[in-house]
Amino acid sequence: MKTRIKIKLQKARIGQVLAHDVIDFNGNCLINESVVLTGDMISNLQQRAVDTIVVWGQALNENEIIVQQHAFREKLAHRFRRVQNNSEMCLLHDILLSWRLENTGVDSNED
Amino acid sequence: MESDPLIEAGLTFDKLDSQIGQLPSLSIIVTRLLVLLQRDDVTMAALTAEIARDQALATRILRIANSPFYGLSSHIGSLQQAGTLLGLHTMHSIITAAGIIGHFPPRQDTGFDRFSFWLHAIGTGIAAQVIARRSGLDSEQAFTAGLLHDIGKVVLTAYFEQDFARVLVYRDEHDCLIREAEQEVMGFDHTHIGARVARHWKLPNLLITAIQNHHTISSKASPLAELVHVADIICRGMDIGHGGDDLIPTLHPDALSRLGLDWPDLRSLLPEIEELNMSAGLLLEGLSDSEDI
Repeated sequence: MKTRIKIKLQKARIGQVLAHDVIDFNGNCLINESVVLTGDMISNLQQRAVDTIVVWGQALNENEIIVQQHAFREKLAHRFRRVQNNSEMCLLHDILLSWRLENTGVDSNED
Repeated sequence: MESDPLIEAGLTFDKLDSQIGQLPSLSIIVTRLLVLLQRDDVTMAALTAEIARDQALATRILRIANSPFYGLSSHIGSLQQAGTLLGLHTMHSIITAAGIIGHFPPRQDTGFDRFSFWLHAIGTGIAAQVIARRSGLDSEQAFTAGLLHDIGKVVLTAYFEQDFARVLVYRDEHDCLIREAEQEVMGFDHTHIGARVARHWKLPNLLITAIQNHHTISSKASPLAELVHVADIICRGMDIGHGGDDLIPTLHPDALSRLGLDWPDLRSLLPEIEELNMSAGLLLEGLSDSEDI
């Protein structure tokens, strides 16, 4: 499910899509809604002291979270497939897995 | 026994040494800057004067300093301003990154995603930096070592394309780490190549040994090599960029404790590593003169 997310400009990433026009203090539109952010645009907004922008983000429902968690579990298991008998590596695997599962569905860019 | 055509055709140490000697040197300005940065008495004025002699490098450094990666609210218009706002330590990282990543020719179709490779390199630099802060080590030196730890791989893709293609075939056929494929096909791996290239470029010894030893940790390994060893593995586990294969090398059992860390410490660092890596693509965009790196 797509949702609008307000983020600090410093957390903006290339490729994010604007969900609202970016307006400066004088009411001028700097970038239109629906534009895909580039590095130059982000730098330009910084120069104009823009503090926050609104982008489209992904708010996951319960099923989507389960699917994403499953995908990560599979991917991690695949990456660790040759070190399953190494206790240190099993510990590292479990730490990475638990950390990622706790954070799935939480957009860390969200304010 | 029939000889393996892959190994027979592979790059040899002698051929490698001879070809590395012919690789383009870093620009004179970058080499001078790297020497300057090793001095305890280096001043920002001396650095900016040297950078200003290479317009392309100066432009690249300003683009990086202005990239959202550094999160400065005002635009940096001069090298002096960049030095004042970012400080000598951060300028050290930027100059090294700008001088070395910008050195490589445009991407060629070798079946190797160089953008993802640099994301992994920057990610390892960031992870090394975060871990260094916790371990009380020099964080900017850690960033540089992490950034350059796999420089041997990019040299292989850029200058030894056919040998690298054979490595990729072996990796895919044997489902192994790229380092194992390199050893099987060539008899040595990217750590040997990276260390030789770093020596050719007159990089500091600490960096050379970190590049050479980040996969072969022993009780005599430098803290910088151990730091990079851990950072590389964490980045692969966190799926940051692509280091050339989809496996994970084995963590040396003493590496964490020798850095003064335990497992809970490591876990507590993961959010910061991920957060800083979210804008790594922005740093990479600032580092390149074109989109095609």
